[in-house]
Amino acid sequence: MSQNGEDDDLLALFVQESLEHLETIEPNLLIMEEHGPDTEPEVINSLFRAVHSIKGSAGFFGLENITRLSHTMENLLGKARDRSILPSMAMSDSLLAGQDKLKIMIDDIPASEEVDATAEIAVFEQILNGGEEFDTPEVHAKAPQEDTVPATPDSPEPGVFDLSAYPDAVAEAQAHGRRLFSIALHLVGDQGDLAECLGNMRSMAESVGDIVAATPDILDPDFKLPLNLDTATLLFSTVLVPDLLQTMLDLPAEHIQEIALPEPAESAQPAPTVTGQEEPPPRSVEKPEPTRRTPSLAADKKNTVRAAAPTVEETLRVSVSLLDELINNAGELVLARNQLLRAAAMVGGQFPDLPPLVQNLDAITSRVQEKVMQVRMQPLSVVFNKFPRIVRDLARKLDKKIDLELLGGDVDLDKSVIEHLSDPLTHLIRNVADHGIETPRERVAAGKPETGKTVLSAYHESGMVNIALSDDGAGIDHDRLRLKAVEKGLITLEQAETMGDQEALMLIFAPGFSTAKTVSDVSGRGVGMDVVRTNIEKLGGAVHIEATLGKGTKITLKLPLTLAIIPAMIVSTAGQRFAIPEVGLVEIVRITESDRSQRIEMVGNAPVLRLRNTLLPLVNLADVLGLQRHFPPESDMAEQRETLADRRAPYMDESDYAALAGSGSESVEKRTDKRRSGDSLVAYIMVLRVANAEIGMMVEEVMDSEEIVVKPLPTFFKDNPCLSATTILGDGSVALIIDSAGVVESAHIKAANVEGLTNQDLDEDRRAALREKQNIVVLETVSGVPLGLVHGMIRRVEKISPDMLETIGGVSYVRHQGKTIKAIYPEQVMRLEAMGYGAEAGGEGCDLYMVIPNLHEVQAGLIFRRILDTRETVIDLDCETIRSDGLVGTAHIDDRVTLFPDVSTLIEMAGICTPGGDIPKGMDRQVLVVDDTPFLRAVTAKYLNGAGFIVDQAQDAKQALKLLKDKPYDLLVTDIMMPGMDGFDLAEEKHATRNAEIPVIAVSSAFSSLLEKRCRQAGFAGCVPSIDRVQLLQAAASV
Amino acid sequence: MLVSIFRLGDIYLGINIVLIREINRSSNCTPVPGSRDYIRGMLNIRGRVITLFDLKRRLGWIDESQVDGMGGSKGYNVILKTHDEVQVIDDEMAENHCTWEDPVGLTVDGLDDVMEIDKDSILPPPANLGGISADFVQGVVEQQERLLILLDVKHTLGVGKEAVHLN
Repeated sequence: MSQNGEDDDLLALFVQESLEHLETIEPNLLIMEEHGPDTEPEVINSLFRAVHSIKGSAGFFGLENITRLSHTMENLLGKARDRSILPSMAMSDSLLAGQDKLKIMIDDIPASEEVDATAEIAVFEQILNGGEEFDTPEVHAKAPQEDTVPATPDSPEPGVFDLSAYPDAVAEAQAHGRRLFSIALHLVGDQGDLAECLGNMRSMAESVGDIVAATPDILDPDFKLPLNLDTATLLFSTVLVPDLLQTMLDLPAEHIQEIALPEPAESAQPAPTVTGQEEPPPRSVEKPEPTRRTPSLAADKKNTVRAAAPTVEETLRVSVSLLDELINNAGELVLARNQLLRAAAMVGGQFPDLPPLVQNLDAITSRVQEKVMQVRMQPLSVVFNKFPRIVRDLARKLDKKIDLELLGGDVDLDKSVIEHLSDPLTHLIRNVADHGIETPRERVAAGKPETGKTVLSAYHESGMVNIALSDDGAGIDHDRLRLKAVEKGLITLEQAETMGDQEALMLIFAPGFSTAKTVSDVSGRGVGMDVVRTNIEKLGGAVHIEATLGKGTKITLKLPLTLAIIPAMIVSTAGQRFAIPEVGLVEIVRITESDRSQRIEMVGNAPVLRLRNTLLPLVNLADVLGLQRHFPPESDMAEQRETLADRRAPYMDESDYAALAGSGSESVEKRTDKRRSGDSLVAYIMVLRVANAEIGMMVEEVMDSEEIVVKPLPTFFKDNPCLSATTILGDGSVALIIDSAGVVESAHIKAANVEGLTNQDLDEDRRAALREKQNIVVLETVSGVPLGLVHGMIRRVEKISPDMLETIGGVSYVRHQGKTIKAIYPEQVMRLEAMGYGAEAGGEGCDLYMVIPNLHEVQAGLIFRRILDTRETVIDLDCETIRSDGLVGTAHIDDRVTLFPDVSTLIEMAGICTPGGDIPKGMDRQVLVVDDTPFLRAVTAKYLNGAGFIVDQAQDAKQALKLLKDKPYDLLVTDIMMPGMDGFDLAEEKHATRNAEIPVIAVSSAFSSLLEKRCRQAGFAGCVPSIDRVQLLQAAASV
Repeated sequence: MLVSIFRLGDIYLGINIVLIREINRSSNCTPVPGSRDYIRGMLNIRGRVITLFDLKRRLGWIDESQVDGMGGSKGYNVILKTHDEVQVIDDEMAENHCTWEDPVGLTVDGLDDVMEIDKDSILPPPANLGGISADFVQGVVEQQERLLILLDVKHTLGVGKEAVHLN
């Protein structure tokens, strides 16, 4: 038959139905494989019917290749059904292979004729032929007459057919209101005519019904017309009434005889079939039973051997777009209902009849919406059902014994979620089979049963659907994971040591991580688990893993019921409302004016929130989206913003973060005023968890938490990574749904690695701003002395309780996170009391702060009573008034003299060995230090001086050149970014002086690899970050 | 063909009525950060999210006084049908002139007649026409006291294969 355009719809229907049939075939074949000769007839019948349907439809479309393959499969199944060949491993194997081939063909109909199925067909024929050889006499005796009737061709009387031999035809006739006829054909003429006549009759008959059987068997393609044949009888099934059939076939009435149907065994009433086709409609989807099926012999028989019975479900095929439209309108109905409720509440008093009516409408609307949402739900069995086969194939391939149990396949999930689950789950299952379950020998050696047990279960929990995949396999070795991660450079050795077991387990989700010793084609390419997690997180879900070495692994996926309605937080920024999905929203932090300076800081060029013990990178939603932020009119921020904004990069205007972090002594008074005027609310920070990192997103207002209906984003806005979809708010206006991952991406925050942020390249403007100001933390010692520390000296600040302090042999220690850290009281080490400081007594029992210095491998912390302030400010350092060991100088901060110690010297004074301690001394060499920032110049000079260098200082390149002309030096240490002439120019200019050949070390607070490279190109002897004593001294010693 | 006529500033624009779904006056439009300036934002019409194009900006009339003076709530939103909706009525029309899948709307200043236009009376667009690039004009029709410009909606929305982007 030709396939013209009008057939396309029918063909699509055929493909869809055939695929559904194939889906029922697979689980049944697995049952057959397992139960072998004991397979219940109903299973085989079901298989036979499915293959038969495919064959029939394929024949209609003239798809010869499919017809041929399904025909042989049907033959084989037919033999199995009448038990002339008993189901065997070879049979189920070949049938599974055949099913795969069929699927390939049906998936791509136009190419189906090119698919080579000869191998499969050959196997079938071999079994078919071989089967006959092995047939035992008893089996033959049991076989129905179909095979034996041709042996007695001389009794072709009408009504010769025994209906009990054709249970299928009878059942189908009963179910679909068909009639069975016995048709007698009188054959006259010669061989050729007869063959042609029979052929004509056959095709005519088959156009209006099915020939169930014939005597003699003219249905057999190999049938040779016997010479003496003059009558043949057909058993014919059709929906036609006798009169019509008679006209159709053009036969005399007496040749057609209706055979009365027996009463239906069970009350199978003719049910409407939507497709209008004869085969039973697809049922795999609607039936929950198949999910309980397991290919395990050990499993409960009652649950396992239920085949897909030919029940007729009343289902309708409806297009998804129509459903979406319906859901859309149901959502609208809910909105309109809400508006009506509000209106009714206002006027309700005047119209007593109204409230009950509105209430009724309210209830109906809720029911409609609930039902409409259910329409899109599908049972998980749709995904689950393919796994028994996958596990079976893998187990065979890997020579393992694996038993997969499926539970909760009837749990419903939104179609959109189901569609995206298949790949991640397949990957997980493959992993379990490949890495999780051991070989039978290993299992026995470990005292476990030979067969590994895997359970895939789904269940509801707190509004989410959990899918758990557990096995009793080898589990996961935490330590090997750690080692592997260090090896791959994913974490440092230090991180590996401090990492908890659970955290270590999560490493398997890191990109490029695979623990497989050898890469197999099953899994272990190292691109899997991270993709699994990304996919699940994209669905708004989460992945959790538990594992015990030697006992097994359990991976749990938590998934939302639907993507169509999600809980979201409605926020507003820049006067516009946005929805932030609550998935991934960890917490909301409310920051008031008085908190701001304390908790928001600048690290490098990035604003961070000090939240408990972590630094949280911040982005402002308005900035990321490119919106103009609103400033409260009375705020002095606006003017600060203007003065700072022109010096800062336009893309992320963090002027007000800078303001938050404190911006110099001149603004202090204003800020204190504001503090007094009360806690005016400044911002909300939405703490979002994206991938493995947390970030804070600042918004102006948090309005409400709502269940929002997700509507797709118009294509015109698809290029904006910050937007994921749209929704309609309660008042009917459209709001955008924010894509948290996109926000992070556009803000260029790659991870919560704040230390990494400090090393980011700074643009010229920002360098200029940094040069003049330092980020400092002012802390108060236990005895009440204010000490200033520059951020660069601090790794982190921990809040500790006094009972964490222990004194052993006169030395204090802090037990923190399982480590013993030596506690240093800076005022004691520096002997400040002796200098008249420290009159105040420390408050006993209060929490203390421990500053961990930014020195590699130093297990010591400086103990302070409290943090007074953190800010970015100009330090006007006075190095002369107070001189003390370990002190860089003093400066006035908020009209109070603040001491600026040098942390590394301090640590050394406390008797702790610092890595720089054994650096060779300067041996009285002459060095010139050039830096325009007094503080940094003083620190650099101090370091070099302490190492035995004789130091001269210059505040800019001009002054330096003057000195270089006059006096011989052994070394030039210069800042790179300086006004007028920078460090590179200075190095160039020095060639004209007597110190042309001396080595140069660059010092930069904006240290980066790029800068380092440039320094190398310029022939510098080194490039070190500011305030890094060890690096500086090492560089100085090496020249 | 039957053409619905709209006023934009002092010119008259015609759009094939088959393409028009409805006309409303809602001004409750949500701007989309980072979108092109000629996209005014998104509008909710009975649960459908409509992307609203500011026709004046789109046509390149970036003169602010002109835009601000006549835009805003006084104007009308012409909501267009989508590809699928037009396909039901006219397959050829959907394939060639209505390729967008998203519901969209255009802002106009005023409404005018609906009239039957004889296909033969449509003239090719002159190179430049009252400040409108020829890319956006399908053709013109001379009428008694005015020139009717037939808008090429596909190009105006920038969704055709030969999409025009004004940057």
